[in-house]
Amino acid sequence: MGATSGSMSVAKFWVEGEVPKDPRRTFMSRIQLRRFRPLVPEEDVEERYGWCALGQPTDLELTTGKTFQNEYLTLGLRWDRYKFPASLVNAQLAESMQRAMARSDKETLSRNQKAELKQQVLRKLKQKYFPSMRMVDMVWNFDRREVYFWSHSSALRDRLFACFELSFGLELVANSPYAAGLKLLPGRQNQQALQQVELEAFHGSR
Amino acid sequence: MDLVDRIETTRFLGNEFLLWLWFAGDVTGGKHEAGEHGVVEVSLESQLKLTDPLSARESISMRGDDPFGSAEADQALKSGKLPAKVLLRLKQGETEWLATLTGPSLALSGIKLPALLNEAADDPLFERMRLLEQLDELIHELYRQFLTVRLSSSWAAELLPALRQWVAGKVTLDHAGWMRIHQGAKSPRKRAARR
Repeated sequence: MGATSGSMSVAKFWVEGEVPKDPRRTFMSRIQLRRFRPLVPEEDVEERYGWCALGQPTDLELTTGKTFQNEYLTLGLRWDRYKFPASLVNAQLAESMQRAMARSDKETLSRNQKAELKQQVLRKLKQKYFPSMRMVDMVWNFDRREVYFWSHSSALRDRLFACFELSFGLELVANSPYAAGLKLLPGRQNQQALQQVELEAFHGSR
Repeated sequence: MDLVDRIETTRFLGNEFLLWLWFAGDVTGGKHEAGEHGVVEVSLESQLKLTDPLSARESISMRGDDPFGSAEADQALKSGKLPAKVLLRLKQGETEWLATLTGPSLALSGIKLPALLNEAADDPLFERMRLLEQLDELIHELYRQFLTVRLSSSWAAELLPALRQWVAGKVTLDHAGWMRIHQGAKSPRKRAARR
């Protein structure tokens, strides 16, 4: 479910910082730099994230026409990672260690040898299995300085924060009762009142 | 205190906002004057989660025809729990949204947008975004109204006692009283500007 179909679960963020006057020209090359690059089993990388086209995790040909639509910047955040069950990794590692100890006629292996064997096991597993893939739509309204992100996952949100800041040099502030209060009731006195507000008890006799 | 601490220590305002919406349903029938948006009708529907604001693990979740009128909800309020998640129906004119609102984060989930005007459009993005932004504006306008009273002197003097009476089972505020409190409440900033 995302920006263009289905029911919606969205997180909202405010964009902090100065947006360039011509975001299309300024941002397009920076978006290309943070475009998603698929994982390769031979790499010692367990996960990677980056931008793809809105709603299209396999469409990595990002053009101005796809990315900028009227007042909106639209992208998908794709996050791929290799995630193997610990029991599978441990079983394969135990087998590898047994073989290594038999070959060297030793009863134990050094920490470095174990680490090297684990990397070999992971490399073999990466050859055999595809990484898991997640993609979440993101829509940024330049006029309102608001970003909507179709996930409430904190892991995905952390990656959005990082990718957004690296791509645009701007910070995102998550919606919350406090952040919304600052936006809706600006001014120093309101800010002070908001900082001093305390939880009330509504129950019991008083 | 840094920004992160302030955000975390004021999440209860979202719970209190949901309680305010619930109370408004009993006092005004859920009709709110939402400034330039006109009248917005809010009804709380079949889903309610209440938590202890001091310990989110202490929670009770209810689904059904009217969880807000249930004895369990009444008991939970009387024991100090506050609403944390509710299913809302918002109506503005002929336009109607359904969404689950989580108080401590003001997050929206399971949003059902009104039927699109142009179902056959190749790219429904713009219309869906317009309807989503409209819903978000309405909820934030309601939150602004709550917060304006919450940060004003009318809160301790008038609305908080009425809310406590309501939690105890007595409605002591009528529609006219509600309107007077909310129209009279000025945020601290506006009060200062008028001095």
